[in-house]
Amino acid sequence: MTARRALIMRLIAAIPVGYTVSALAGTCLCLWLPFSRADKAIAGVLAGLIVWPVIFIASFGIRDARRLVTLLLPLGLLMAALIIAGFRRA
Amino acid sequence: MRNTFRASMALVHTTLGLVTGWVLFAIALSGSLSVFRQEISLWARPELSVTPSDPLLVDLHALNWLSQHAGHAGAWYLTAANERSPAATALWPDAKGHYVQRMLDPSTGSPDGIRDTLGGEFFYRFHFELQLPYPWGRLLAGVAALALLVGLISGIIIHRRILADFFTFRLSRGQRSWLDLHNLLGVAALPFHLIISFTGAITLGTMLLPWTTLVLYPHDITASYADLNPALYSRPASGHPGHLAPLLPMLKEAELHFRGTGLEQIYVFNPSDRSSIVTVVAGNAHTVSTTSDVITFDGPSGKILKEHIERRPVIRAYIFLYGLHVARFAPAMTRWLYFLSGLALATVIGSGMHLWCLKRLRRPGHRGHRIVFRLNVGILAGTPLAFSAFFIGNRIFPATMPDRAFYEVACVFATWGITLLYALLRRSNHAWPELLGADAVACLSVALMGPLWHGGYITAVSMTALALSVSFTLGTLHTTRKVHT
Repeated sequence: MTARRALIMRLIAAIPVGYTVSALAGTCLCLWLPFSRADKAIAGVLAGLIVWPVIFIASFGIRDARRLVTLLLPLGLLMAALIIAGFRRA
Repeated sequence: MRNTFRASMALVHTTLGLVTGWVLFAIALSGSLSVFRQEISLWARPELSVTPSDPLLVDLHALNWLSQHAGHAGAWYLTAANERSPAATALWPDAKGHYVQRMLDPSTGSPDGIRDTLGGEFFYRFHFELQLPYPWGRLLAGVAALALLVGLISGIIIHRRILADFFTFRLSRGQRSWLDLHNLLGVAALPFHLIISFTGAITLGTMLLPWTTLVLYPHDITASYADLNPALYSRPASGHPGHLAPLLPMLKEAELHFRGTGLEQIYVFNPSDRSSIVTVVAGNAHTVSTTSDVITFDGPSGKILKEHIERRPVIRAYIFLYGLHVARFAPAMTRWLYFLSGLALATVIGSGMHLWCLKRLRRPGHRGHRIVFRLNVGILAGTPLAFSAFFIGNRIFPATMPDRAFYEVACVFATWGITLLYALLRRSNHAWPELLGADAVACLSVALMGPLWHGGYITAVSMTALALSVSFTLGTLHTTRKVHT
């Protein structure tokens, strides 16, 4: 893999994918937490604000850019599944 | 392996800093000024009589004036008087629906004779709205806050010797000195910088990540605001005229419920309607958190409709972190630490940008680098100049000039534009001392226009301007030497 392609992969992982995963993580959390509605909404926001910077750093910190796919894709799918299950439950 | 990790973190640090540095510099500087927003608001209105009196009575005079002159407005939003601010500030829609914000005289409640200015509110709004239309300014500020957080974390990772560099400052060694300054101030105020960037993102968090709100309140997004604080309650006007019950007993009852925290805000909705309501938000005398205690009264009867004391765990954490950022709680000493740490942050960002340029200018001939370097001079030296122009405009424009609040703000952006253009056209080793010299003169003018010897907050703000003028003078002398050697 060329350096340029690796960099593009990292950028995609850090910005659009990082944002999406953090939004999914927050949504997932707000559907499964046992708190009041307002608590859950804010907990999701706070979690998302922590998850995005972490994924951003990881996107550039992980040595092999290809591992990002094997890391973030299952994570995103898991959260999507949890969100669907959360909606079914509600 | 460690080295490649460091190298990629260095890439993140540098690129992110380059992309967001200028916006962050302006945000950090305006944020530092916002720490003293009430003091700046008083500086901006020297005609205001500031003999301290009972804040409740000051609020009552303000509300009485509003009921006589803005009785048919849909709402009055009053920032209550307190120990720091002897006068109340009101925001209300005029007959045409345009919002008017004025500070009201503590003894008469009238805005007459007090100049129309945004005062410290300008810096406060600019800090998170960047003078851009809603929601773009806020989104940009929110993203910038997260970028700062990532920049700080990657900065810590690439930084090898945190403790040693804390005691390292090699003066007059060119690029090395800039790096030392960048590291020294970055490390010294690091806990503040981390907290202020994260809590800054939190204040705009529901805009950055609206998804949880959309999921949990699918049919009515406004229900989420009501749920966030159930006592911040509103109801539609009935269409039948009505009168407000006496307001002083309501304010006194609220104060009793708040147990000595004082009042922060008073909102009156539909004041001349039968379904008017009065909402009172507790102050921050005993708590870091914002809006932890809110009471809403039925306007015509004066009876409590709703009271909310925040006990929900996540919301409490949220308003605590929110409160840490906006620092309403902060006593004078803490405020100064916020101010100085904010200036340190601006310096860290500015020196980082400058380092980026210095490193690249050693290889001459790159037009893009030269333009960035010149614009960088314009932003770093021009932002303080533009902000000073606000203060100078405040004293130069006649007190009765129509739309003077607008022209004060126009001063800021005109100065910014001119400075950037100047920096772009001028050789940077000349532009540095010239623009820093202009900063020194501008800050000195602010100090003298106060005037410095006026007393009270005006002297305090003017003294701060004078101190800034001295540091800009040192900067000017330092950079002038470089031109001649």
